[in-house]
Amino acid sequence: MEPTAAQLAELARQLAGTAPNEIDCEAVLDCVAAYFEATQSGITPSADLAMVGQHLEVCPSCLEEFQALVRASAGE
Amino acid sequence: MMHTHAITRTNAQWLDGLQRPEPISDAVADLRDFLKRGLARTFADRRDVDDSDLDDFAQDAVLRVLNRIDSFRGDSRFTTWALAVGIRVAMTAMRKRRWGDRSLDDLCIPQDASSDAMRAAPDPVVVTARQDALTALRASIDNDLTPKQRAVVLGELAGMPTAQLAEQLHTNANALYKLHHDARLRLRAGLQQRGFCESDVRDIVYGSSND
Repeated sequence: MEPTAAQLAELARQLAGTAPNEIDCEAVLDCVAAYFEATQSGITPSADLAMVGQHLEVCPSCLEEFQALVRASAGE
Repeated sequence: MMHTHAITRTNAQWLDGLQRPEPISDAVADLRDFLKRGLARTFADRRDVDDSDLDDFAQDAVLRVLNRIDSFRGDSRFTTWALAVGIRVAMTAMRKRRWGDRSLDDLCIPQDASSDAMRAAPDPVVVTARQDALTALRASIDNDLTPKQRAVVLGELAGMPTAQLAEQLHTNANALYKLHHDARLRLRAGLQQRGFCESDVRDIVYGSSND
């Protein structure tokens, strides 16, 4: 399989957001709620929670789920 | 019956109701109703999700929440955390449904797909620079990654769900993420070896700051 230019551009976007130390998707699930509430309240996330934001830059699946959390919480 | 007091419980009340060998049935029912409402908002614009799906997702989500309730850190509302877990459950099921039984060998990407990144850069100099960076990235994918790392990167780019990708590579989600992370670090190093710095990579997507 040969990736398209658009897919390579998406990969390049992920590379630009790649950090030496990252948390994985399971770890994100444990703290994404706190990250969401902090960002919704306009509070700067702690260093611990900031790693969630970094993960969302490089993981399309978790980003999709975070956006879903925003939509799901809109009516609460 | 829809319970109206689902979101008025405190975290302690939720945990007290759910964190028992035999969880209190009202708490379980409240949680299921709460998750179903949240998932309904999530999938409000999806025609391929009906009420029966929402029931199934909510039921599975309740089980997942109960299974991992010990990992709730208490630094958010319990309901926000439970909703995040429920969304993970539902999204995973939807991705599996969308992906079907295709394997890594079936991945097929149209070769004539044009790039928004290219269309957004009419300046021939900029276009050439980006093409060079993309060529370097292709070369790095082909030459700098292990077969497993390449499969993870290409599978993820093709939109293959993590669960299916992990299954086909006989690994788990956490190991898959590590593979992808290691691959990204290798690709960055590979680009640098080919004369491209990180800002060149960013320019592929966002355009040069001098555009």
